[in-house]
Amino acid sequence: MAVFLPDKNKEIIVFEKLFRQNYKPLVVFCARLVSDRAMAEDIVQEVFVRFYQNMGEKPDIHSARPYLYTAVRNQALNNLKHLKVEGKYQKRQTETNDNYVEPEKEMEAIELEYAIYEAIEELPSKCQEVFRKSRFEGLTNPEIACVLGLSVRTVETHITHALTRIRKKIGHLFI
Amino acid sequence: MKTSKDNTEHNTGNDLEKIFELSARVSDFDGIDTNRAWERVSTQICRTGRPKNNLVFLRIAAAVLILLSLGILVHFATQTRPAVMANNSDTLKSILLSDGTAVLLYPGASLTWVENEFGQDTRKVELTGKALFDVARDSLCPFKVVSGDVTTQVLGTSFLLNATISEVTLEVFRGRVAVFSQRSPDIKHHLERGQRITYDGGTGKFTRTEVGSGPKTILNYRNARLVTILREICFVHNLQYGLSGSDEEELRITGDFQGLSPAQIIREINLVAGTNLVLRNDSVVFAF
Repeated sequence: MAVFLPDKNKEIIVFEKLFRQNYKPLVVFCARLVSDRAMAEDIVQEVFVRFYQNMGEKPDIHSARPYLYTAVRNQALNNLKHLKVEGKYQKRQTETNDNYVEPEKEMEAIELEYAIYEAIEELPSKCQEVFRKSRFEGLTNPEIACVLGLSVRTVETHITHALTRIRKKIGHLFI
Repeated sequence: MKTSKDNTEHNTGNDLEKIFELSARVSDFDGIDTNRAWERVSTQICRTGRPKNNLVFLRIAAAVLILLSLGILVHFATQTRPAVMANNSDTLKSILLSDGTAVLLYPGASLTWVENEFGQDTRKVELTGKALFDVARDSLCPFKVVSGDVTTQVLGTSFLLNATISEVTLEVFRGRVAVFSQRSPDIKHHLERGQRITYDGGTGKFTRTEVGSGPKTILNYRNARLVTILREICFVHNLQYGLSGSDEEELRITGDFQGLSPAQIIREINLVAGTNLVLRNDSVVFAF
C-alpha cells in the first residue's frame, strides 16, 4: 500500500537528502576559503537554511549543487569582509585571483575528494587504519609497521588493497 | 601499438596514482558532524518555516485539488512506463532531458528512459539509432547510454553514438567517455575528444579508429539539407539557430566541416551555397 506523506514532510525528506549529500564537501570547500572550520560550518548551515526558505516545492537536486557552491563562496567572501580582517582578506583574495579555478571545476575536485573519503570510510577496519596512517598522518610504511606491530609487507598489502577497493568504488569518476 | 588490455592497465595505474595523491588531502573531511549540523538546521527551519502567502496558497490548493484527484489516476497509470522519444520524421529532433542534457535524435532513432528512476543514482537512457548527446555534468550521477550490448558512461561531455543491430559507433567531441560491452563489463575503453570506437556485435570486439580516417565523420555531409547541417553545427558548437522558414534552408550541400571554427564553416557555406549566413551573438542567422 502506498503511503502518502504530507507535502511538508516530503519537502523535508528531499531537503535532508540534499543536505546529507553535500554538507561535508561544502564545509571543506568553505573552510579552504575562510581558513576556519567553525566559521565554515556556520556559513554552510546558513546557506542551507536560506536555500530551504527559497526552494520550490520540488527542488531540482541537479541544479541545486552549483547554486549551493556559489552561495557558500559568496557568503564566505562576505563574512571575511565583515570581519574586517583586511590584511588576511586581501591576501586571500589575491591568492584566489592568482589561482583562479572555475567554480564548476572546484566543485568537481572537492566532490572527487569526498568520494575518496567516503570510500576510505567503508574500508575494513585494519585496512582503513593502515591507509589513514599512511595518507592522513604521513607515516612511512616501516613506521606504520612499527606502530601497529605488522610486517612492512603486510602494510604494503593493506595499502594496495585499499587503493584497489577505492578505485572500484569510485572508478566511474575517473572517466 | 597499444592493445586495449595495455590501455586498461595504464588507465588503472593512473587512477591508483591519482587516488593515492588525492587521499592525502581528504583528511579535511574528518571531524565534520553531519548529524549534529542537521539537527541545528532542521530545528532552525522548523522554527522559521518558509515564507508563504496563505491566501494565494489556499486558492491554488482549491483549484489544484480537483485536478489532482484526476491527475493521480493518470500518474499511477503512467508511473512505471518508460518515456519513449522516437524520431519518425526525416529531420533532426532535439530533446532536453530533465537534468539539462540535450540530445539530438537523428531520423529513425529512438531514446527510452524511465522518468521515475532517471537522476536518482544514475541517469540511464537506451538508444536505438543515431544521436548526438551533450550531457550536463553531474559527477555524483553518471549518465549511461545503453545501446544493445554496449554501455557508454560519462559524467558530462558531448559525443555522437550510432547504434545499429550489428554495430555501435561512438565518437567523442568533448570530455572523456568510458565504453564497455555486457560481455566484458570490466574492460572499459576510455575515449577522449576526437577519438572514435566501433563495436562489432558479431565478434564482440571494439576497434579504435582515428576521426577523419573512416568513411563518415561528424560534420561531413553529402547532399544534405542546409537546415540539417546548421542544426548539427549549432548543436556541436553550442550556438543558437532559429528556423527562418527561408527557401534557402532546403538547399542541398556537400562538404566536410570537421575541425573548422563556426565562423569558418559559415564562410564556407556562404561560398558554396551562395547564402548570406552570419554569426551574431552566438546565433547563426540569415542576413537579408
